[in-house]
Amino acid sequence: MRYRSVVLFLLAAYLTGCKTPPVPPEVERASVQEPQLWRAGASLYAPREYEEYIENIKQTRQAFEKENLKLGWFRRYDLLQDRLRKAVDSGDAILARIRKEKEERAGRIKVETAALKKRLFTLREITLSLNEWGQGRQRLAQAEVMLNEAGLMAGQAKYDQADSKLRNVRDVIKEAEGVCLRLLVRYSDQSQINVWRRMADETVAESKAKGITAIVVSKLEKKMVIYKGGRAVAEFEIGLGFNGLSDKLHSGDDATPEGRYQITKKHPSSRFYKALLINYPNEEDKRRFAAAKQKREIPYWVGIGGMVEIHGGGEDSLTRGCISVDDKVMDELFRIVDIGTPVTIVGTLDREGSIFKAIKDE
Amino acid sequence: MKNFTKVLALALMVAFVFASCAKVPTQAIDAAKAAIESVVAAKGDIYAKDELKMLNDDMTAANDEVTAQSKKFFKKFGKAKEMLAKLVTDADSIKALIPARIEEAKNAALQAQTEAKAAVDEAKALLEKAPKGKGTKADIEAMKADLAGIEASFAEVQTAIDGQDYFGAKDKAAAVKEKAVAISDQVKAAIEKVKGR
Repeated sequence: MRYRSVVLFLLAAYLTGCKTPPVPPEVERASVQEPQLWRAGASLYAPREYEEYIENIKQTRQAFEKENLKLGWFRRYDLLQDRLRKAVDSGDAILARIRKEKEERAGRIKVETAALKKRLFTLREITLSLNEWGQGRQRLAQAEVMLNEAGLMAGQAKYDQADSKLRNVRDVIKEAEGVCLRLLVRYSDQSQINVWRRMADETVAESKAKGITAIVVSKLEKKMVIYKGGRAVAEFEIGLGFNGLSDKLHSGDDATPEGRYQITKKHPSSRFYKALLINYPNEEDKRRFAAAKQKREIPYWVGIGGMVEIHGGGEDSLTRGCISVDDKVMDELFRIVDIGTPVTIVGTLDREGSIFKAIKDE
Repeated sequence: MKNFTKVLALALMVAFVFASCAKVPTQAIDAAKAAIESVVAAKGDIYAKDELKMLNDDMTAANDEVTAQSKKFFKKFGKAKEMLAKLVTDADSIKALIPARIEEAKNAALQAQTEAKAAVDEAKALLEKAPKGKGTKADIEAMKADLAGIEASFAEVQTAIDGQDYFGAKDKAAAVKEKAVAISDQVKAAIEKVKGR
């Protein structure tokens, strides 16, 4: 009799739907979401929220386990489902936040990389115009490699490493800027610039007074200005020596002399198209050379040098101390200058010139 | 009444014996911790990140089980012991995977290094034969300086390999290669510039 009652009870329970409820889908979602969050770096991007999420998931899981210990008929997942849904939703919110933050970081890195690329380009151009092929240029090449690395790291979502690499790039760029600025120490000395300005002014005044053609060469700007009767009538780009920014002191230093000179000879047929010889060394050059020799700054066998010319061959060429221009410019110069035409070569006339601005410009 | 007292005393003794016999499996916990540490020591935090996370999760679950049982009067640490024993086995299996992964990363870094070297050598060779005429001298001197710069960066690839930073070495080598290829392209352009005259 008792046996029959039990069977009847079970049958009734089965028929009235009292059976094991299905496991809520949130359980599966949570099991996929948890490693996803970890991989996304939730502990770094949203530590407090992630900790809270983990605790919620853990507690809910324990509650589920407890519920699972009950007989199927008595399990009530619906009570836990809401809790789990909230936890999973918070996980989704964390994931969305991480994705957004990562996108923002990637965007920032991209913008900074582009800015640094532009800066590297500017500085590379400056090293070219300064003929700087030593530490400065090398550091820029290294900075470029580092920038490439930062790009690769950002591509792998290693944003911290990419940020750190970009900081290194900025440091290396600073070093390169320092090298360039050291090369230009003389060019930022106001008293030196005053001397150059005076020489240029005197040349222009002479051109005006005598109604003649005069040439003023500015080495830093790599520029040659032609004056006629004291008025600037033409401007050309020039090329300098390997060590063009230094003031020529002796033979073989590859430097371009600074001072007031004159055209002493016109060569219609030269190794470099056509050439205009200037009277380097002048008296001032000879005095400086003698003083340097006396101080043993120059070995005794080294001479003062000579044969400094304005010649063709292209303004982008490298000379051993001469000034080079395009062949077409040379034709023009050949036409307008005479023996005796003043040629004044100065470092720069502008203390805060474009190169300085470009180097200092962040 | 006498019998009831006897049964009660016996039941209490049995309960006491069961409750006190189930001790916290300290040894198993220590062994599991040591197993995880050995995975970290074998560079699992670099080469088996996901698996290490799984081990740590399992450790947390085992600890939770131990804590839960510790609070009970009738403590049963059998499940916790099983979990901890499985963790040790899993840790050993994961540890065994790591050398192959390190080797794989090392080979990838060495491959990238070889490719970078080839690119640097090609740029060097091109620079050697580049026409040093008017109009290209400055560019060539500049590119020589660039090459000297990337050779210094290339040396850092070996430093990274020596320091077993294979992922870092691979990235650096790839970055060096990119710049070396850019130099080669510039040299080729300079050669073309001269040819075009």
